[in-house]
Amino acid sequence: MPCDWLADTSERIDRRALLRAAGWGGLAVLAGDFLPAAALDAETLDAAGATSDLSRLKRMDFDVTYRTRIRNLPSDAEDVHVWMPLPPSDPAQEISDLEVRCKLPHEITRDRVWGNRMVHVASRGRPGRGRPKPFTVEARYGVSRRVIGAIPAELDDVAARKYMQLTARVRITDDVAAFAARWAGDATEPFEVGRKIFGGIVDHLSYDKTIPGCGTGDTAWIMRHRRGKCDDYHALFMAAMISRGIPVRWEQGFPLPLPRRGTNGKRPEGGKASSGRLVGDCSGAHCWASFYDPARGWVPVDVSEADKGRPDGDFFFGSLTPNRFKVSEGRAVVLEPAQGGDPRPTFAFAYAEADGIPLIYDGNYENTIRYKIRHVEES
Amino acid sequence: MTVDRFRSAALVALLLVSMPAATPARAEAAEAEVAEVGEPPPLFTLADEHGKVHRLEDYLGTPTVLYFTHNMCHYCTQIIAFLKRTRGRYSESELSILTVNVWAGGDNAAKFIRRYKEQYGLPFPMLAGKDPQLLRHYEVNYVPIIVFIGEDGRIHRIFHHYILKKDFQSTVREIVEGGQD
Repeated sequence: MPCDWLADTSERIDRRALLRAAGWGGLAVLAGDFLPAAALDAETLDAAGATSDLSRLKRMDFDVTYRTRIRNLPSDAEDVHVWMPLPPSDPAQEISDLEVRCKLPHEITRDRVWGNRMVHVASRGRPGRGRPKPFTVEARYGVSRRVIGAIPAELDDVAARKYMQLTARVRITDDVAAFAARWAGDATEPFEVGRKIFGGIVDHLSYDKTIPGCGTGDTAWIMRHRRGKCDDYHALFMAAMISRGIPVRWEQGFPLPLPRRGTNGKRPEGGKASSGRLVGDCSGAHCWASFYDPARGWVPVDVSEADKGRPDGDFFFGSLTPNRFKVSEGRAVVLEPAQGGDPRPTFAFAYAEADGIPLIYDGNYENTIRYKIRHVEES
Repeated sequence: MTVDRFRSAALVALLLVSMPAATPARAEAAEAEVAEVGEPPPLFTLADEHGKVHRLEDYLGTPTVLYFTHNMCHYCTQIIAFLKRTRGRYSESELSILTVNVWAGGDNAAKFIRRYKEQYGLPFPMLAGKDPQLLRHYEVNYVPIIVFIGEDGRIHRIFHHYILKKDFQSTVREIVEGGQD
């Protein structure tokens, strides 16, 4: 890509940035087939006056097309790899009709720690046949996601240790430990500790929708700046809970908007009004967490969603709305086969490398996620 | 695929070191824990794609824009356009521009940086900045981060993520021309 291209794109990117600054979240609308007043995350649901609708959602069925296009490789690239996350079927969501399309040979693998499923594609240059060529990999699947509460589960000691792991960024600093101790107080029962720390984070942080950048969930930064987005909220929740000896599962996915009601009061099913095209770099995903309570199993929380000023914020302690889908879990994810670069802090977006060096998002490759909502069930 | 997931641990050429003081502001900089407006910037020594070592201290005294990015930052390409236009407007003696890729480090740091610079035709240095201490000092949680350092060797402003073109331009003018249009 010519370097001068940059000078010509500022207006285009400015528009995206302004959308974000205006509270459109980390996902950019690229197509005109999406209702402008609807939105790409729950922030805009608020703006649409749909706050109370969220906790009434019972189920959403939608189709997803997740595409990664390698479009412009470095001139010296020889060994190109792409890893694209594939969503799991679990008690919260059912994945159906998975289809992977790619002209190159590909494999479906799982990482060795978290068990995340992914598509891996490799393209290598061959003597006499030149360097790797641009290619596209696409996964299509259906998602049925329902509202969930605590999910009963057994956790043995080995698994518990896995969910007690910290990372270079999600760390228990003195400030985090003090914060957790102050808010947990005398509580020791995991559910009670979770509720108190959930409340403490909502009290301590401010959701900052003006941040359009790419967060890492650095707990030291969070404690100092007291603001952030989903990565920050859940990194602090994770570190604080682990500091109290409670396992936490990081869950990574994408938010979906809710189609607006028509004049008949019903939400349209299918068609333009309930479809959209999202593009994302490191910032466009959504995350939440679950903590383990032996009496209840995995208890879900979405602290950042709860801290957007909605009256039903408590809903997001112990429950999750279905306008989302999960693609992976865990932090510090080592892909399979392992990437040359660092472990991925989280794994929502397809990741690409050439010769062990990360390709450049938007320069070398692009991820696009299209969705089409088929059905919305409300109480 | 031959993959060494631990190769990134090797940062031999990219050690972050405190630099000796030459002015009061520089002496304070060596002690700085995190970058703060009004304070000298935390000093560092990082290598470019040729292995040439760049010491932030050597740039102080000239207004400087310090820019942190990585390979998965869509917005950052726009900031690069701002930086390139600014480079064309001010000479190196008037304004220094240093860019830091916080994912670049280890054995392949040189190729990493070279590819990035080629992709976007960067006319200013890009340094390999994968160093935990550097990330802590500049609080690199979000990228991009743009640090504007005045002629006095102190941080004038820090933008901890996105920056609008008008803010970028006016802040550059503030450090180069004292805010004159």
